Amino acid sequence: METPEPGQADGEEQMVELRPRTRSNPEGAEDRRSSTGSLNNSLASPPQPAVGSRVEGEGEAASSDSPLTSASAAAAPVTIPPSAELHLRAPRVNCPEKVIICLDLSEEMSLQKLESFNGSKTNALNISQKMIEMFVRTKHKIDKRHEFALVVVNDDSMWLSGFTSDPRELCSCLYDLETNVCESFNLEDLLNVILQKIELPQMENIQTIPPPFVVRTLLIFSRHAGMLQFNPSDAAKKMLQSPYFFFDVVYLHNGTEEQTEDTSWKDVYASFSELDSKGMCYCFEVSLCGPALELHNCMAKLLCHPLQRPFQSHASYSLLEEDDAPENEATV
Amino acid sequence: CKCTRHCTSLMPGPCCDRFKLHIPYAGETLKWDIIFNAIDPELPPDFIFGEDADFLPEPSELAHLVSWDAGKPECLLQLVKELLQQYHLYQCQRLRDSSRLLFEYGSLLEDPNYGHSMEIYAGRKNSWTGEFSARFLLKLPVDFSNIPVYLLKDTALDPGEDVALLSVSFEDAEATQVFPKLYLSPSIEHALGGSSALHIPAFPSGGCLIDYVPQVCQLLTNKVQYVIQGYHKRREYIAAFLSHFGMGVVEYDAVGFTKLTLLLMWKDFCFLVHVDLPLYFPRDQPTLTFQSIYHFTSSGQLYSQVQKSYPYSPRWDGNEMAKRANVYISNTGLEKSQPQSHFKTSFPQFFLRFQFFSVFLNGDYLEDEQ
Repeated sequence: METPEPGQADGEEQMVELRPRTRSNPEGAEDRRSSTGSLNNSLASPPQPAVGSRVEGEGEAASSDSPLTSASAAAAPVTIPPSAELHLRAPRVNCPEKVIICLDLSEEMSLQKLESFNGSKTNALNISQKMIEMFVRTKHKIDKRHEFALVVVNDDSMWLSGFTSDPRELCSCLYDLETNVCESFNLEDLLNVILQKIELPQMENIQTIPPPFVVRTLLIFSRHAGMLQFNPSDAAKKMLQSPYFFFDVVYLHNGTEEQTEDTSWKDVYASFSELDSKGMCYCFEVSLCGPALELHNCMAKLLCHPLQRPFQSHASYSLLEEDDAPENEATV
Repeated sequence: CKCTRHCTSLMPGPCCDRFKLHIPYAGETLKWDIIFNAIDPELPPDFIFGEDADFLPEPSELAHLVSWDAGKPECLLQLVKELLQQYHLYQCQRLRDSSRLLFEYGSLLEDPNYGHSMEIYAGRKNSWTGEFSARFLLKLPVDFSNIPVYLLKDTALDPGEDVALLSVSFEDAEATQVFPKLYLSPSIEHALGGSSALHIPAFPSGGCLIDYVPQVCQLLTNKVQYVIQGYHKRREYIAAFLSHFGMGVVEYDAVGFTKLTLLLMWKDFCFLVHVDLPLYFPRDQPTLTFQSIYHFTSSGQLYSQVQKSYPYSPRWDGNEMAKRANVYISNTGLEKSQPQSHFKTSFPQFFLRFQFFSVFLNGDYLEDEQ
């Protein structure tokens, strides 16, 4: 896509300043972080904050945000260290996305535990397939330049389809899938499969020149395979740290508070969050025993363009009620 | 201009000493032969001016002919330019056959806006009716420089100047049959909305160019202003919407500000609103499309409803539009984004969480409500 003229890029920066300063984000923490570009390790906070307290100012949380506090932060073994590039944010331009949908096919996905809208039980695979179809069709409707790919995750990962901008092409591979028993989750393998298929943009000036596209991995994951243990290769680390790569996760868990195999779902969830060294990815947890509605809603929130969406903890979608006082979204 | 080599030389074999030059002029194409002499290449060229046998420029008026320098590469170009100036004068003199058209010419000549870039082609009298006809081609002094860059086509594909040309053909000497036509360079035509940008008023009977041409200029200038303002207004609108709904924005056009998608939630139920802003916003109202994230139609498409009329005024500023849209969407959004027949009462006042939805979310593919 064409590089916008400097006037427009400046306009974009003005738009950043126009963003509402919420009660809990009075100094525009997001802005400060992106505009100064200062290294995170100059601040007091630890490099990898726990889920839910991603930035200093925590705005009104989305309803499906994890209620976790920093309790589980210490347990996570996987840490992607921040690099100097992390604090440089690409401009908020709606460039085309290449979305790699990674669908877990472990047997947990076919357990009939999700509560469908009519009260009957359904399974996560079923709902995921419909959600994915809604996702690709909607993204295509918004911008026909977006492209999609499908990867299925068993013990290893396999690239099924893509990249294509035609949602029908992706959907045609989506429905003939079967789950099976999976021993483990090989995250390294998944990242390698992705690495082989993509080449991230390299831009001279990250903050002012929009990239020609961004790459987003959308992992729908349900197996209870213990903590993520992996040693990322340099190439994988570099990919995860790139300002043009995003690793979004929807984690479907059994929702119990019990500890099994020395780990609970919260630990697994936290370890996914640790992969997000930039603080810009979206990570959702949904209970497999709960309403299917939550899963639909997560997928809807994942529609948001990674360069234009707020930090997950700041996201808010509620409509104003007519008799409510105006929310803390200040007028500009 | 175009060069072709169709002329035969004095000597056999390829001598490369003569060629045809095609020059667009006042809507016609002049086809001039330029004839050098291979035997004596230092000599200046000779010219044959197509069918204009009466065009006999005075050689002493042609500076680059008088001091022809075969060694200077731009000499021929300058000579052709001087010839064109003479040709222009020749054509203007032919207007003397019609006092009416001579008046048109004279009045335009006096106006500094148009006088300097006029081309005139006074055609031969029609042999059976004896009628005289002429065409005026004027470059319109419209400023296109502030048109937002994103609207203009890729300059690599269309590197020419941004220009508007008005051609007015007089089919008779009394100016009773007058046919105006507007030409725009491709970038400008695209930026102003395509071929509809070429619509201009008919030449008024009894009217004259000195009144008509400024009218067309003004029309074009207004269109350009509309487009520029539209861009700024759309930008303001999107900024206001981001301020009101910013934490729920899915995606928006950050270059041309032509579209925006929002994700909204009411008591755990989400829906999408796509906003499309037209080129001539705010005169033209944005379209709202409400979309369900839970439903497909029976043909497998996303369930959505388009809303083109809702409370709106082009006079509201962006903030006011965002506030009013908020009220409208709050009142109708959830209802409009779901299939209608399954609601028994209006939303959102009597919304019950599961009872209603159990009826229609049971199936995955629903009747198309449109």
